[in-house]
Amino acid sequence: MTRSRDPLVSLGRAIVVLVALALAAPLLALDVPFYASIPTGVATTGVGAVPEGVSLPWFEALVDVRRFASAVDRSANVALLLSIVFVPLLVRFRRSPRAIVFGACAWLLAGVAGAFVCECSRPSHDWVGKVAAARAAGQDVRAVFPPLAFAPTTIDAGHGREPPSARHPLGTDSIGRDVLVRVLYGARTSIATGLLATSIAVVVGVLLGAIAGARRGLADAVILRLIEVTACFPGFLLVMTWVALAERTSLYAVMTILGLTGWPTIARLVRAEFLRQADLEYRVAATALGAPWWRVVVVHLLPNACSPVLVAAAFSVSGAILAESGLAFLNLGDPTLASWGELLRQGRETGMLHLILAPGFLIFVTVTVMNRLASVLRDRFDPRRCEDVR
Amino acid sequence: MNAALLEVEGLTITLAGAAGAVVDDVSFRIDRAETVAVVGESGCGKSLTALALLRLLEPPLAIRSGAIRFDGIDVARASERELQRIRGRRIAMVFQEPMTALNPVLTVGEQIVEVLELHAGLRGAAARARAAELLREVEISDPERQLDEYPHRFSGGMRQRVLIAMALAGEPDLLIADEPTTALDVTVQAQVLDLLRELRRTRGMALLLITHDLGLVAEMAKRVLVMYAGRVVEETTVLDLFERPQHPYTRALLAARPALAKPGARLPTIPGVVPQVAHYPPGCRFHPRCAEAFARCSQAVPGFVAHGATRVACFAREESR
Ligand SMILES: Nc1ncnc2c1ncn2[C@@H]1O[C@H](COP(=O)(O)OP(=O)(O)OP(=O)(O)O)[C@@H](O)[C@H]1O
Ligand SMILES: [Mg+2]
Repeated sequence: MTRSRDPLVSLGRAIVVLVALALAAPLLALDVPFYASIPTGVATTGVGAVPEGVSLPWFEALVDVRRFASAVDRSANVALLLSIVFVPLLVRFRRSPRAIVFGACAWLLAGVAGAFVCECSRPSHDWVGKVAAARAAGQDVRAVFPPLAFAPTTIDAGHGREPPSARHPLGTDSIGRDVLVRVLYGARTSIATGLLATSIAVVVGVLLGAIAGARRGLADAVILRLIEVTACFPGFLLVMTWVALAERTSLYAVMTILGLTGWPTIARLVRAEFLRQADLEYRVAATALGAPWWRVVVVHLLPNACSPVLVAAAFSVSGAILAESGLAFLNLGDPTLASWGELLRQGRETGMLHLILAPGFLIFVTVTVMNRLASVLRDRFDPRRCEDVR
Repeated sequence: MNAALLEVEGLTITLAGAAGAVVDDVSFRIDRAETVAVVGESGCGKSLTALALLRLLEPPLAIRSGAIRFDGIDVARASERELQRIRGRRIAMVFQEPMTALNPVLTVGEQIVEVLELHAGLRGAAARARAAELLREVEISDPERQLDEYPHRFSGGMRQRVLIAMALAGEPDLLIADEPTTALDVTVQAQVLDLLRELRRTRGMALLLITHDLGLVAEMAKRVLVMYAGRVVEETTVLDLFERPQHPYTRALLAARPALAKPGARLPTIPGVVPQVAHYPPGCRFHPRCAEAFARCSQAVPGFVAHGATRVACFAREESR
């Protein structure tokens, strides 16, 4: 079967673009120069003074807890730096899906670990202001800023609620933050929510589903009850309750709750797949050849459950992204992170179109892409539709 | 008489919810490097007996009583860990259905390597090389390349050979082959049989051959167990099986061989069907279909009587002695 245009390829590309934008956000938008050469004088004194001499402040800023309060941002920043290693590796092994999955996971984990290992806290340098001041004073200042010299938290005083302009390509929000910059960083929030919530759901779901399906008996009965009970909790309402009770909204809590309410779907799928395989001889054959039961589960039964789990995971990602946007829209989001839903809320409050269009479009595209991916995968894995995909 | 490799005594398998035993009081022995065949119609409990030897029965099936001694090990009472050391390494099994006995999502190589990792202590390149060697041994051409193929690319005959290769990977002392050739066409069948014979000769491996093909029995085995409805009705040598069959069921089986039928004539059959587990008749389970049956056959279970090298469980033979 030859298909001229494989929907998986275009969906894959859309996801790669989205992830690339999210990762590259500080490359495109940050109020810290990549390279700076500052003489002693105006810039090195007063409030927000910057260090003199030649420096590469952008790199340090990536792990600065004052600039990036959320670990989500810092992890993404470290991952951005590590892309120098991982992107060539992934391109090199792009033919092997297994290598891509392992590579992507390693990249992600390295980013998170890196963010925890190296973090720093610098006094807040006002690079943009000081460089401008020094230039105005006629000093020989050299500084290379990202194309948009704003951080997601930078408030451009006197430029609040502006429609798109040369200075702010997508305008500013109600307190003067650049919308394009916040849209870029908002992609990180969305992706992080989708990933963490789904990972938790997948890990818990696969574990419990596998135990239920493989061990049967009492374990199965207990887990089935647990599935039924958990499936009764509406995840979104639970999150809202939590947020209402907690003093400060943390994205992690939100993601964890979404994950812990989302696992029953996956557990059910894994269990069903195990029960289906119960009648197939290779399961007994593996035992007959001396494999211990856990090995039969991990090596022989789980891989067969991969496809339905993958489909459910894709749906779960889009669901989590939607939930995060919804929370932020209700003003219940994590205040340390830029979010598409939060921009939408401002748009609704002010009625300004430029606050609605870009984030609305991105939420729509992301959720559509993930849902489409899920349904394409489902069709692809359906043995009746296509028997020779592997 | 030296110690048998495998000795089964009074093996009884029950099915939860059914009154009679599915496999009832089965006893036999296999010596080293010996081939024993088990024959009988479909549903007579051959596969269940084989599974029981490796303690692979799962609820609702269970071993109720009986002893299984393998090379000094009490398999019937062995712990799960002891079983893992026996399965694949001392006793290996080739399953009946080549289409479902291989895992569709793992390559053939991965599945053979798994056994090598478990039992031969081989890993990585060494395991792969040995896997290719095993494939060559079961006469699969271009083994290096086939290692990376998924089972669905293989024909039934090739899968059967892969299964045999997997069973051989642990270099077992006893190979249980459950209808190893039913799924194969005649030429492939002959190749697989040659292979099994060759392996038995070169490795000194004992073989428990389960089949309902009497031609196969004649070619491969020295001793034969005839099973009917979960019981052994006759244990005999191959020679006596064809020359002097004793049990009425054995005789009927022999008479029903298609090879004996005249061209164009209806194939001879044994009247009636093998009863379902729930409907096993009392007494000799064959008596409703037996031409020689008399009153006693439906009242008591016949014990074994010896006729030379043959043991037969039949009241009619008891009297003719
Ligand atoms: N899991 C099970 N649950 C209920 N009954 C079973 C189960 N497995 C086997 N049986 C019954 O046990 C009997 C013996 O089955 P077994 O598979 O041993 O037959 P067999 O001699 O191998 O037949 P065949 O030649 O068709 O392979 C059959 O009547 C079958 O219906
Ligand atoms: Mg069978």
